[in-house]
Amino acid sequence: MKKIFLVKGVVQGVGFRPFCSKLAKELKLGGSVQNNSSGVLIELHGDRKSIELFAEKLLYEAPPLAMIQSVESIYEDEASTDSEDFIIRESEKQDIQKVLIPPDIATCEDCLKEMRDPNDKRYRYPFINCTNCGPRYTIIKELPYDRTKTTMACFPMCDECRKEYSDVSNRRYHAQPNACPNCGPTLWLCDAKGEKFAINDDAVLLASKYLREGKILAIKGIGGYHLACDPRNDRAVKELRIRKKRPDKPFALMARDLKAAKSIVLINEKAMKLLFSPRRPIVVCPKGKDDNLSRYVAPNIDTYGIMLPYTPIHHLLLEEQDLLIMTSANISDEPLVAGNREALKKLGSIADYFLMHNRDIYMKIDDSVIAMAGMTPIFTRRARGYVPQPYISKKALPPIFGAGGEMKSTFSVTHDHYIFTSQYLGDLKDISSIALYEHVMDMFLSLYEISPSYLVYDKHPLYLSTRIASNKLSSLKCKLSVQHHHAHLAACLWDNDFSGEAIGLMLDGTGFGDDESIWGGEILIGSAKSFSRAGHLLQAPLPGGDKAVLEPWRFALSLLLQTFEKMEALQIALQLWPKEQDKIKLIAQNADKYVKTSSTGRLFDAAASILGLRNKVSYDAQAAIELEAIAKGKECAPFETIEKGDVLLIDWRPAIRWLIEGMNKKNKAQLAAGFHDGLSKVLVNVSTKLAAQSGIRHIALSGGVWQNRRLLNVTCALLKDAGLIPLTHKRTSPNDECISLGQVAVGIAHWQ
Amino acid sequence: MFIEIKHGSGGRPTQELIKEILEIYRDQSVNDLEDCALIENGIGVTIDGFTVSPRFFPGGDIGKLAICGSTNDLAVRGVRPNYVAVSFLIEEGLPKDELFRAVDSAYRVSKELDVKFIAGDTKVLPKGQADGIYITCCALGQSVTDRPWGVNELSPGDVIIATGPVGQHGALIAALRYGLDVDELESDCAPLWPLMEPLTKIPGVKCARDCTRGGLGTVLCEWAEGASLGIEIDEDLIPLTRQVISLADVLGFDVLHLACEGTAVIAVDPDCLHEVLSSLKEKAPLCAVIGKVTDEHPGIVGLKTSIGGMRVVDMPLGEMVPRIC
Ligand SMILES: [Fe+3]
Ligand SMILES: [Mg+2]
Ligand SMILES: [Zn+2]
Ligand SMILES: [Zn+2]
Repeated sequence: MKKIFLVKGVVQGVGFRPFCSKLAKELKLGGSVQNNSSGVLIELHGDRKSIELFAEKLLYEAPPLAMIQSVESIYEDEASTDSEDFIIRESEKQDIQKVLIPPDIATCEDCLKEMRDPNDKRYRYPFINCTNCGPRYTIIKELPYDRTKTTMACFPMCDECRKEYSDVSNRRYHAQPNACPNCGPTLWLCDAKGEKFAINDDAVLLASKYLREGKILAIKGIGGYHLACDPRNDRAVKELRIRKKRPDKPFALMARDLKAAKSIVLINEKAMKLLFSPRRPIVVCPKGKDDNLSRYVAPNIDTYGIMLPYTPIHHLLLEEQDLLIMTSANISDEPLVAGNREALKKLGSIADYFLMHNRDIYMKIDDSVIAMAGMTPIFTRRARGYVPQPYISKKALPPIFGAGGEMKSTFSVTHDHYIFTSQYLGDLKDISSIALYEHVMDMFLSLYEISPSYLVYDKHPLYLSTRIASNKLSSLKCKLSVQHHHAHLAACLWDNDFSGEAIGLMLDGTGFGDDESIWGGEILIGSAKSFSRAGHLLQAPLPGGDKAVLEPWRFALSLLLQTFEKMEALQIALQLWPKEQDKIKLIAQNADKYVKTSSTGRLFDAAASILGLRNKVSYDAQAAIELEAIAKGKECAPFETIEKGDVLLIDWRPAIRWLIEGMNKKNKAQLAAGFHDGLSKVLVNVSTKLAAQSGIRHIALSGGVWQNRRLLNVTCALLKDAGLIPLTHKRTSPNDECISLGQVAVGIAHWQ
Repeated sequence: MFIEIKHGSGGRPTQELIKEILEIYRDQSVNDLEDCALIENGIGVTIDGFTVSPRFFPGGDIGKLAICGSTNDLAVRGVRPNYVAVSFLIEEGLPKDELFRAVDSAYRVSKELDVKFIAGDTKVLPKGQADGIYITCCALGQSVTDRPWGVNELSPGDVIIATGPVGQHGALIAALRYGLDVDELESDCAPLWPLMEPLTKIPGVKCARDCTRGGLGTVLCEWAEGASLGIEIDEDLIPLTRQVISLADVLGFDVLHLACEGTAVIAVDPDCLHEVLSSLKEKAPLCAVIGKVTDEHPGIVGLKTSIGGMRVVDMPLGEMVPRIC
């Protein structure tokens, strides 16, 4: 018989056609396989049983990078030609772009073996790759995915490479970035003036030598440059902090192998799986006992972010040392640097040497970051290795664009059955992030030929994401603004494929509220369709707007003023922050004039400041992260609830009083732990109460505060004890990276 | 829908309100959003309402403010202020002496500028229906430049100058309202014409604005959006007094959003920069180049920070609403 299948999903550029060919030959089936704009078309000739077996194996034995969304039988005919020939046909371009671009994937074992084999023509070749590994998303300019439409177009393949590329049975069959030392890109080492010292392997060896000597190197990777140095060299790490003007924010590390990783962090089974996955995220794990790393690598926190090598260059460099600092190369909050000239210009004052190459990066993308909360992974940044993989819906979706948040911006856009969420695009308040947002937006819309008719955006009237998106989308039919925490709720529900109503514990730093105050400790009930605000943290004035975010003592003072008599509050404040004496008096005098907030992020910052951990932060959520890091013990701070009409208020005043009174009796670790667990307990109490009233048992947890591992673990455990079902983010981050997805989810509920 | 206090902030809500009003007048207005309108024969007209609390403050009072504010709107378009028409709305019970102190200082600035008082009106409102005194002032004058200064004249490469420390007036008023110690802080309330007049003879001067409501930041945003060009300013170059810096620090205000009442921002062709600066320096010794116009990031104003990044400057939202999550 003859049968034709259409396979949809991530099936191009992942070695899918050679796999089909191999499978067909194994089962003695004839026919053909061809890429088109909808996916892969497979025509099979042979007996029914073998064809059925083929369809089954297709699903279970598909290549590692393939993500099969559906296998549709689109033609069937009992009559059949007998030929056992199976051929791979040329790609065909159709009008609608439906093929999915794969993410960038770490160098595979087969390639590594070749790279380490002195007899192989790619021995120590820094650009070795095959259909199962190498750059994808970062080098593609147009669809269909073909070499001429990637940044590899300027490297014509040599005869040998072309042969591999054209040979169906070869591992490099249609591997678009295929290359060898004769025809492919070159690696070189240069100084800040661009003067070259060495190329290819010599460059790697010299770079390693410089790293061992304590120099700072800029190293071009898949999605951009890293800044690297020896993490055991105090002077080098400190120098990197000074040059990068980054005093405290932890640096990520790259470890040669599991042994090297285990020498500095505790790795559980889940973490191990993530570390070794071909997506190669940075995994944040608890620090081990003695790691002899410089104390400047990740000061004042109890974790290291660690990843394994994911390009041949990394593997070669790490042969010479077992650990390297590998932090994204950027200036302050700007997007990372990806171009060679850009690198010399922007990193010239940071890096001593540059390890660069001439394979262009078309699409900048940061390393993904996943933090381990025990066995639960939490995305804190979804980027390389995961993007542009879409979320798949069972139904076709209306054409919606979700403009996203602002500080951890992403956008999401629907196409057919898919929602694509962009990589983390950075803080849009930084002007170069705007250009990145626009570039990635243009790319998605043109690659997939999408023209959204609906725009969903945050209620905050000044979000730049809203401005950029509405400027760019000209043919809009409808716009819809969505409250920030409603978007969080909708994102979390979507992430869990949950379409019912849930109670949402939306805890974050800041979101523009329906009443124009600043929300951030919200208990919502609802779904993507609609929500009500069932409760929230007691509000307090935020003295000094954005300044209060950078200086946690300001909000801490505000909390003291709410908790104690004014004179007593002042007395405590002056003891805690004697240097701020003048400001304390002025703020106290004007407390009622500041805008009010129910922010949970600020509450944690303030607790950290009261405990004397930090009065000024140099990176986002630093104070809260350091509070979490020291928390240890079984205390429980007394948070209470107040019923005000039909709204439940979480009253933190008793907890603040408990902190102040505990300062002489308990240690900071116990107080920090108690503050966390007390909040968990009251959140669960409130949830239980609302669940009893409403009959709803699912509790959605979203917002940046849920990156706090202790809070997440304790709350989830208590929720389960109470017979409730916690819904946490799985494929997206709980922080504002998920806002765009939530906006789209609300849009779908609205317009579908 | 109600009019809220934010609609008076000078920022985006204000802009939107004005847009809505102009929409009704769309076929009956000279629709340019400059500080003053130029009508037949190069005559410039502007009208401005003044309400300030407190009415008397270090460096000025509501009378001086009314004359400066309205004539400054002419001055920054290269229009010599000649006439003012003034309307006083007075609350029942206002000490007569206060009214006359305000009128007297209005007179003194008018005299200094050689501006004639050509029409006036007084209304008294029952107690509680006004806050002391409101002054509305219409100013008229004659354009003296070859080409009228305006947003349309901006082009990439133009240099941006602030004529003095910014945010003085806004900071002072905030401090007084918040009951803070104002120490040596003074409003910059002053007429701009003496500063602008010599510039009208320099052909490379493109555009000027007094940074009133919404401050320097708002003016630059309006320029960038109006001209579809980018603007970049440097945090370290913006002239500021110690008092304004520390006040903004305590209250969490952005100095770029604090109002000025006698400080202008000027865009000039780099070729005439030297000439402009030496002209300004006489009367405005603290004037400074703060940035430039660029063809990058059209519509957006960037602030180069001391740590090396470039932050987006936006208009205030009315209240101080933080955006960080
Ligand atoms: Fe948020
Ligand atoms: Mg005006
Ligand atoms: Zn491979
Ligand atoms: Zn080759």
